[in-house]
Amino acid sequence: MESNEQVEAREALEAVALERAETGRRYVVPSGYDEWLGLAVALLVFGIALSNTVDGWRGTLAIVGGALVAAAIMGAQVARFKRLNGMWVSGLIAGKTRAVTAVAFLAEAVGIVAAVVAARADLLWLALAISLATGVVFAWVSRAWSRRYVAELGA
Amino acid sequence: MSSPAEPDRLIHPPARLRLMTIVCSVDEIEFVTLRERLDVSDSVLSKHLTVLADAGYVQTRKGSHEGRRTTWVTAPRKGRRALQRHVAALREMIALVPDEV
Repeated sequence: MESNEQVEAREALEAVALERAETGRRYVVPSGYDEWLGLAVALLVFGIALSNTVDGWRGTLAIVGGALVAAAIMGAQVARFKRLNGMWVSGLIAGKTRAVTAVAFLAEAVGIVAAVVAARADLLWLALAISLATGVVFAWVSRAWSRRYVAELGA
Repeated sequence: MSSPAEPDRLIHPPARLRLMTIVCSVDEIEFVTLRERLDVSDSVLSKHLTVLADAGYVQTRKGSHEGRRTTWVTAPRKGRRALQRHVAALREMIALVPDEV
């Protein structure tokens, strides 16, 4: 038979599980959120690739401009997310979702390298295609991240 | 045999355990959202937050939400580890087999 302390401990653990599951139930992704993040990443990647094809201020403009527009889009999406949820969860939060975050960063790194190589070979159309593909992958991974986060809270 | 881990007295009260669970499930949460989740008054939540902040388990920052000034609450590493230890201690308590009489 359980002692009073054990009954209390069991109830406390049940409360923890319920609260985590409730956080998962309340988690709402704004419409188009993942797609906008994907677009931001695509612009960032293409800006970096483009900066490798032009010299001087135009190269700086490409990389800084791409980064600023990407940051503005991401900032707007974070604000939308916070407004809707009253909370914020970044991809860096501890847990099993970190593996998904690592995939997102890896995809972005590979996309940047591939787009830069294409741009340096004067294949700007390919650099653009790679940038867009990187954005699509990022959006897909972002969606997968949300699913995994909610599943982890309910586990 | 090692003695079981002690539950954290600061987190042990049900409302604070729920509070810490919510805050540790996210990066940061807005004061009013947290208050609604816990179904407590502003003053009660503020008192809990003050106790937990004094222990370094939560941090607060002033910000805005939906155009109004508000407070955002986050759990630093110390708070997240404290909750993990507390939950581990609770699990350990349940797993303990009572001494046979």
